Amino acid sequence: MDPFTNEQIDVSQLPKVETLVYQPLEDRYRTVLIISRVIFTLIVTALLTFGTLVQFEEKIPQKVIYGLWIFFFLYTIWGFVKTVMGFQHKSYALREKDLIYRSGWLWKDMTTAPFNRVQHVSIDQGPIERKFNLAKLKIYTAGGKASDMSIPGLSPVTANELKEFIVKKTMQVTELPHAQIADDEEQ
Amino acid sequence: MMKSSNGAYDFTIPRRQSYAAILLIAYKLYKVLLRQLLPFLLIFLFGGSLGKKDSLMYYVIGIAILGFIYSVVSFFKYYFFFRDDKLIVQKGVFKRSVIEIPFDRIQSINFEQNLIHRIFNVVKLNMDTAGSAGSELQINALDHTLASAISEHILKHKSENAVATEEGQPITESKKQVIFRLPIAQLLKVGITENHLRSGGIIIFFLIWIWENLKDIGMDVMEKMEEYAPLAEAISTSLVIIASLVILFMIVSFIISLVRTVLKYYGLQMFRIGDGFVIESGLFNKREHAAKDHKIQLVRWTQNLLQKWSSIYELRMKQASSMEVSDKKSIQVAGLEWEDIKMTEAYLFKEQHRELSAMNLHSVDPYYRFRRLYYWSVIFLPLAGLLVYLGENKFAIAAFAWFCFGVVTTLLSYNKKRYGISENLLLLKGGTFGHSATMLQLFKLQNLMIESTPFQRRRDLASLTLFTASGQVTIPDIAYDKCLLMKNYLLYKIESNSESWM
Repeated sequence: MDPFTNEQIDVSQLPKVETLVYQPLEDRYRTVLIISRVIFTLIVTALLTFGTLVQFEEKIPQKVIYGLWIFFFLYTIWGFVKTVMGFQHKSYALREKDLIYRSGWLWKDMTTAPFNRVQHVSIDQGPIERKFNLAKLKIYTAGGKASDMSIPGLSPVTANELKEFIVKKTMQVTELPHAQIADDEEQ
Repeated sequence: MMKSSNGAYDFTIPRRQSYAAILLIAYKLYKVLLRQLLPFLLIFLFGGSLGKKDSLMYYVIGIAILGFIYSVVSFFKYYFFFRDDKLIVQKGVFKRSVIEIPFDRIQSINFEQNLIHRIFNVVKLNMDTAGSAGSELQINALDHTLASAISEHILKHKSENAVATEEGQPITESKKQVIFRLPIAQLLKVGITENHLRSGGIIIFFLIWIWENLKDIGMDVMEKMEEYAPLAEAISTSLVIIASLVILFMIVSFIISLVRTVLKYYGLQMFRIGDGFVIESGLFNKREHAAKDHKIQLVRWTQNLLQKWSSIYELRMKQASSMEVSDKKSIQVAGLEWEDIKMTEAYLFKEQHRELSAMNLHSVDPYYRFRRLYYWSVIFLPLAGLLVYLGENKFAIAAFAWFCFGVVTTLLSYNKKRYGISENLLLLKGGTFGHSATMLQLFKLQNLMIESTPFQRRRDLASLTLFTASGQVTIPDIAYDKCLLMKNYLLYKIESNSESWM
């Protein structure tokens, strides 16, 4: 194991996030997103149709029903545009000491998770993702739900590789002050 | 169970929980379902139309059976085992997921037993990983001996790595040193300067809640009121009575918050013990809170308008916890003076506290005001218009008043927003009518996020959010270049640091 060093580094010389090459997600994840949207739209349409035809005819004014349909129609269009455009902006970059994930078409965000703050890593697969042979990598830090990073649309192989890499990094960090135990493990 | 002849367990083989887990999963599921569906059930039961009650019975039975099937499936899909000093759990009925937790990350292991556990002689294993909410791990039901073996195995690994003992252990009394005491006169000052609007709000919500619940079970308060029609008429016609009701309401709110404060902060003392703080207070219900310096992630003082006039402060120190950050996990002290705040900072940040006063403070971009005003107007002005269209003039006025309130608070909060970053610390000042400041040590940050809206990008701005283990801090609307520079600096601070953040 390398001896621990902590050299002073000129801040302006630090690797800049903005010069990174980002990895896009698997192309077929777009299809997954669209399918999920379609399913959601169908369910809401069914509910709205049910509501319009059966139960509430007398209780809820016609104005409100029309309003809901118009709102839902606009929302659906917006949803599909956002899904397709948003997909192109989802990408990630792996660095030596952290993982960066960015997303968003109009409202953009970019999260960075340093490996020495990662609590644990998991891989998830929803039913549709499984059909398309895709996986989602989830990285948990102590920063709370809002800060947990979730990278969808990875091939299971990539997801596993990323996970192994991150877990190895986090274990290294943990064991840094306990060099002796690291030696024991190598035997 | 897989148990070799000498009594040792082989944890590398994936194994399931004890069969009692099926009942426990089902029990938990039913509890959640019942809580969610209770209002509907009540409405069904009390809402007349007796004919529907039979079909309701079928629904209940159907959901119960589905829930039980779900529990059985989830039991058979749940495996756990050890590999490479990690605990690995595979689970999921619809979604398959694998969770890996290195032993080093497990902060503590607790056993828990409710009635069902006791009947089957099993325990529930809680593992606190100091991660975010929901990332702590639970194994619903395990034989007692197996659970002890697992706990021993993990703790043995951890003790080799020499992990610090848990907080809350009584530390030797001899080093206990009082650093702050709240005298009675000051206590009254704290009570008087409380945010009385808050207790007023609580009263209003309580009354609305009672009203709605009475309505749900078929007792319409309005109908009852009509029996006293002459009285109601008198009230609605007499402005004097309304005014006196408002004054009465204000007095009641004031008294409630005063009493609450006195009960809570009576005999408040803050101690310094070793490398931590202990707070003691309460009249009938004496409570004691402890916080070690290294567990404290965020420090925040606030001063509302009344407190500003009487120059006292409230201080909160938030500790890391795997649960959502609740008030229980944060230490709260009231009635402090400026010197007390400075002293606490000096204890907590050691020499680094000097950086606070030497810090260059920057304001955020003026665009911050407009962005917030856009949001306020996009939501509330059309709402007011819609309400006028629907003929609800009173509500329209309320919506418009809220909009004006939003405008005022936006302008005020822009004027007070300042941020600064030094070698080791970050300071964010704010407030609307009063003042507030949030401080944190840079190496205690967990991760960072840069966000930007299309409108911000047109002006080359972005917002930076910093996450700690006990809450987040956002610096809104700063120049994009500056934002990146700060992000890189903070990441460098986090990644080059080997000190334990808790």
